[in-house]
Amino acid sequence: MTGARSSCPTDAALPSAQVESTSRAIANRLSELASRTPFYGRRLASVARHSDWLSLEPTTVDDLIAEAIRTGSAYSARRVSAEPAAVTIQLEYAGDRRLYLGFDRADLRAYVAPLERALRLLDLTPGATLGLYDFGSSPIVYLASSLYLPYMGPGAADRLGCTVICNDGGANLAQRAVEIFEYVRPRVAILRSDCLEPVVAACVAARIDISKYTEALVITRNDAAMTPAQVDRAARELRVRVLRLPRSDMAMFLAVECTGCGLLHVPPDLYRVEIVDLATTRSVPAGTRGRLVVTSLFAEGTLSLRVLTSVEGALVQGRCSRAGDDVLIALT
Amino acid sequence: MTPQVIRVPFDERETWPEERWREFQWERLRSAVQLAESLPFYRERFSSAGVRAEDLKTWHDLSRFPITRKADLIAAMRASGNYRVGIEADAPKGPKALGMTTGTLGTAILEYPDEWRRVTGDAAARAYWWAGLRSGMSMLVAAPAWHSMAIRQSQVAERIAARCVIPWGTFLPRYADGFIDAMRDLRPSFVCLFLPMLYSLIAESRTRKGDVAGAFAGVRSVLVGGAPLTPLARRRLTLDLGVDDVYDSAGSSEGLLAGECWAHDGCHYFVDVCHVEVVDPKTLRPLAAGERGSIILTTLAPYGSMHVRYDTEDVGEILPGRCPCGCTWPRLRIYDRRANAMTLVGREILWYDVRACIDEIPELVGKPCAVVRPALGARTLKVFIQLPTGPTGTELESILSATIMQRLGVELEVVRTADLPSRFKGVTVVEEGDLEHRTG
Repeated sequence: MTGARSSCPTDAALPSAQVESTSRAIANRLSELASRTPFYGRRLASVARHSDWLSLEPTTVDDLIAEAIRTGSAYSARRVSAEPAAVTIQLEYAGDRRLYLGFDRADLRAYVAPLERALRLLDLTPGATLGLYDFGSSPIVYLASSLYLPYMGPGAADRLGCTVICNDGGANLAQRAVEIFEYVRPRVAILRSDCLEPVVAACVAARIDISKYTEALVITRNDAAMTPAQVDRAARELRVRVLRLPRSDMAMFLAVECTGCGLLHVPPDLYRVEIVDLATTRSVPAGTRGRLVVTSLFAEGTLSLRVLTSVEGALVQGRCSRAGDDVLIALT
Repeated sequence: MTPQVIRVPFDERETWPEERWREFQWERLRSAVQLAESLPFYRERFSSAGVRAEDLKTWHDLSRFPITRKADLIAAMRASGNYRVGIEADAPKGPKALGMTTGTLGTAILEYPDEWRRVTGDAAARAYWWAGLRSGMSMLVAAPAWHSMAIRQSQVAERIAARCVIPWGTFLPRYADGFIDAMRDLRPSFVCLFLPMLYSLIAESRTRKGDVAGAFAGVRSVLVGGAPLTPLARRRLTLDLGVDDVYDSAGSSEGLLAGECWAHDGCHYFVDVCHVEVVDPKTLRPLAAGERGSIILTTLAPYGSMHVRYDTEDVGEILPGRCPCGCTWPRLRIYDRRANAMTLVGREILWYDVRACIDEIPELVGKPCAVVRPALGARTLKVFIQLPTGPTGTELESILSATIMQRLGVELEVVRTADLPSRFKGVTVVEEGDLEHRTG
């Protein structure tokens, strides 16, 4: 695991020499693992050297569904281990076939790190309460606490010394969310995107002012981000900071906009991110809009190499004082 | 799974002689009441009732302590503007989640620290063990993180070393398709579900024109809870699903835990983590085994939100006699929520009573039905039920009417319906207007 945990910056963010040296070790490690999975092993056959996986065509959700249908593998033949997964979670994708992630303990523990980083950026400190308004099958919830998922060890909120409360993910539960705001007063609340409008309406109807105790509402969505207009409207109605936390669950990706700079922070030791032109699937330079492609560097049980997400944005050159090494992305 | 495997006790505690577990439970009960007295909510209530923890010298003394209802907790929460109402025991530092108990009265918010998860999860593992969950097996579970069950279940999986399959969504009917897909794709050997969700899975399987047993192929045991299940309906479910067995269980966010053994005659309540009394709802007089009344719970795990003589608002009874399974712990049967009790011709009738009559007729076992809450002064019981059209349906209706009259002493009005909305399956009493609107 140690090789893959070292730094792997985004191409557009750092000088190419540094990119090359730091990427090589990770590339070699991941290519070795990839060659042991039918899905990536077959794809690697098309490149000259396995370490050239950086030039592989991005993996799409359709690719994973097709692979699941073709091979009969619930995990789209992406799992490295032949051992049964300790925890298998169905993903939120519609298609001819469901997608799943199969975790062993090490992968679960590693997957906690991105959420922990996100919560730190949201200024959650020991003793604070984190409100969650999403399903228990969402990584935002199950990675938050060891109380929600077996075999994971301390969750992201546990590591920060925070208490969690989850309202489940149905949009019809907005009234219960209001009660959580009123009586629990979470410092930060992460909401599923389709629950935002009902919550805003319920809070307005109940005439509660959550800005007295809640510092930020964070909107999360699998494989997409809310538009700035939606975010602005919610922020106006509730008079609270609204930030976005886009995810791509098939890539085990999640990242949050920073309370300081407002840009999406992607820790380079956890993910290798690119912004690509959708037509050519080639990386585009900083400042150019495109689609996010993610490689999860911590995931060694189920591999996610160059996964094309539905998240749109542009790389931003420069650094944020909150987390100097993070890759910054301006979401569309 | 063979009887030899199923009948292995979870541990020796469940076969202790009665005097031994009673002594064990007594010590925990006294500690729980002493702890409660140190908490602001109970200190005030005990004081108002003129009773102190040290007054608890015999089992009989417990009835001197005040009964708390959910409405009391919600009122305290609303008065203080804080979910912490003074029933929360401090726990060692570590992970902590808040959970909710919801209902017609509103939402109470409870604390579940890691120690609570460990103690009650280890206790709950007994129900899963009795139902046949073993190390290495794959268990399909919903992940309703707002509910205490999800928190206990994570500990159960670790305690038994079972693998978990978690479908997307939650345990509501509209997520049934994903649950069925997960069962077909991953073939878990153990399924644990909220009973209404299980009925939704069956309905979803039939909608797909597939056989129900095909969806459950590979499943050996099913553990259900959350709604009443009659013995005959349980047997029918076992046949329909094509599994080795279906087990009932009972639990609550406040800390009630009970599970069914292989004898399938009530759920043994888990005396190591809770104490159960059954009292007359009007006089609050403790009732003997075999008498129906309100279930009063005292939690014995000294972590998180404590409940001392908490009225669960369920109707049930402690079953008399000993269980052939060898477990010496009392058996509990929970019939329904008190709010669902109906009064007809001066008699209290529960949905469970009606369901039991329906299940006596082989052609109607497990057929979805809805009992309509009677208007004040009504003399007839109205039941919507899926019945075939034509003479067969008419004959079954006559048999059912006769059975209801014989068992419950009331007239029956049967309203035949082609299908009930899936959200009513496994649900008990509905309002007439709502149902007529939906069946159109």
